[in-house]
Amino acid sequence: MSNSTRAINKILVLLIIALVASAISVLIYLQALNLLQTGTTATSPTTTPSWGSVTISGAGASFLAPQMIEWSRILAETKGLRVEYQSVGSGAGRDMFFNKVVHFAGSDPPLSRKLYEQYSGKVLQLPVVVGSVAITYNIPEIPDNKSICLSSHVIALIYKGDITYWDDERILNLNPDLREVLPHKEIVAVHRSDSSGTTAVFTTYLNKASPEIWVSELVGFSIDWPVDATGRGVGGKGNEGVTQVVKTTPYSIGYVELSYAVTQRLRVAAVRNSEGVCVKPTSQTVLNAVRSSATRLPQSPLDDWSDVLLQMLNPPGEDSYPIVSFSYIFVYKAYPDKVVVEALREFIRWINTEGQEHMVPGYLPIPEEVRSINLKALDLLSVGES
Amino acid sequence: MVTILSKSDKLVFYAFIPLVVSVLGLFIVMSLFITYQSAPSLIRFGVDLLSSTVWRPADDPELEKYGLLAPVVGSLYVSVLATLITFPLSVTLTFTITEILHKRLRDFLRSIVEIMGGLPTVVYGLWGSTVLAPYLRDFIMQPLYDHLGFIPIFSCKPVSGYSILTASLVLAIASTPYVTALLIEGYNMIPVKYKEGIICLGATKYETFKLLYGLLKPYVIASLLLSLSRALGETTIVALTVGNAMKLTLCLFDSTHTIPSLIASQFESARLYTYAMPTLFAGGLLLLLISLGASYVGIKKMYDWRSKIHV
Repeated sequence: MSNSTRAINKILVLLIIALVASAISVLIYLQALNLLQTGTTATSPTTTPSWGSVTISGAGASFLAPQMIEWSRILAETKGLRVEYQSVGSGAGRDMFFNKVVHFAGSDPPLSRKLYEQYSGKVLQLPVVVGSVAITYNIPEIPDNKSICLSSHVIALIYKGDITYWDDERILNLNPDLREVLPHKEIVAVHRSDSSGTTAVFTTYLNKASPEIWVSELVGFSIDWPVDATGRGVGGKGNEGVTQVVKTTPYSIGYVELSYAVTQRLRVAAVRNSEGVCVKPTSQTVLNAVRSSATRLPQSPLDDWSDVLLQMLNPPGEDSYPIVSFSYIFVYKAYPDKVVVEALREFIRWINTEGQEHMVPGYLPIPEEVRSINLKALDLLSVGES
Repeated sequence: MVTILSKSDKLVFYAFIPLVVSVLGLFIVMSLFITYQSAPSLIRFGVDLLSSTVWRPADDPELEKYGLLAPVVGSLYVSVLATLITFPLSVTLTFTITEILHKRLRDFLRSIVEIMGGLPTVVYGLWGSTVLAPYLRDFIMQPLYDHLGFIPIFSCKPVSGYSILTASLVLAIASTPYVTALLIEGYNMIPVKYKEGIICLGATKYETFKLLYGLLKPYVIASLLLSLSRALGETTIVALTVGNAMKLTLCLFDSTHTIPSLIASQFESARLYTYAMPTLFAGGLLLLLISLGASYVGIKKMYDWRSKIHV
């Protein structure tokens, strides 16, 4: 091939590359524009005469997902309102919400104080479900009709690696009737290896109830477990992973969401509450706990909820189970689209009234006091720039 | 390099350029994206990212601290070990399939291997975590720890069965079909005249295989490198079996993290913190570089060998 044709070829190739590159970028740009405009509308407008083609979309905490799916199924059947929820995790859900990819976010923790100040007056926080953390264990010697009782002190010391054996005097003192039963076996402490709201609730509880043992550096979604250094700590991925390890490892202890413990019929420990009573987690004891702390809750979805978890844990009351929390949804105060606002209003109204009667087994409804706080959101929602 | 194209060939070539360029472009854009996303973490932690092992998210960005030493070491350890286990398995399989078995049995075994290679990795992962992990703990790890505990790699107490050993073993089983398929393909590519010549000299089947395997050696190494780079990126199997603990360890019975398992475990709430997501992207970038290296060497070796064997 002659030099000149080669040069022409070179120019041609470069030209085509440039053309293709610009065409692709234009396409991507158009696609992005297109997505922003049509991403909110549903594909089939036939199902819902009342809401037109609107679908409200949400994303966030996986803990909320089963309940959200149940709610959206009923909403679609009875009201023709379509709600989509993607279970991507609290962090990713918030990200999608703040980037306006979805209409609402599901999150285990409320906004931190810093984020609250940043979005103050723009974002409403609504606790929609009560969650609770159950302590599960595998001690074959304990008969089925009895269960072990643990205090925050003892749990913290186990997860720090300081209590090594099940027949430790500090455990025996809490369980006088199991004195003969508890074996001289090493305790294996199982925790979540992935980051999770359950871990956040569990560690916040230990920090609140036994701050001198469980320092604030050990609080968070995924932490550096002190017990791992002793070789008696094990991580499990998800509630399923923790359950799997506890089930196959004799003399282990773990923590899971109560809904999971209920549906999987796990052995659950009683926990000593702030009044010194050993309480097992049931829907009644968990609701008692939320009620006893409801008097101190913020009174509006626009308020700062960042301290609520800390307030709810280890509440007063003889029949209160101490490890409880809310899961939240976040919505904007204003949306540009009127239909979306109407649909969100209906969604929020419904899940705080009839929706609370359709709880998936293991999930607990929020008390009346909290429902009335949430319903204030109906008046706050408006059409406008969010 | 430049082949002479007819006019119509040229037309076709120019028509295909956009597709070719967009694949290349996607790869470059993706690499740039990962680099861009990991920049905050690379700038903030720098060398610490590779020399320390911590995962400490915090609401206050000042208190956040991350180090990826454990998952980097874990990734390399698990995938190298898996590849070492794969090697004898797939070579024996290749010998059995190509030389020993009769045609019908051979086809049967080959299709079994192919089906195994096509299974979703999550199936291996589930089997590994529910069946293999407790079994290995009770019958392999515990005895080894009891009797050979003085050797460093056996020196930690097996607690749950989720360990480097379990992950490597499941990973090895899952990648054996892939390597075997590559090896059989390579073995069949050796010109028949070589084999005929060897047989004429009166060699047994084993001797034939041994001689031909000598020819195949660069190709075997290349296949193993490719399998290594696949193992480096495998997520599901490892996340289900390795124990996912942020711990720097060389003991076989300990849990650790690999980069993919770290990403799978921490992704859900990484966006809640300032530097957690960039650090995960930095891990992805490291993985990209490592497996790019391994694949490059592997593919180069394979091409070299192919050009040699056909001359």
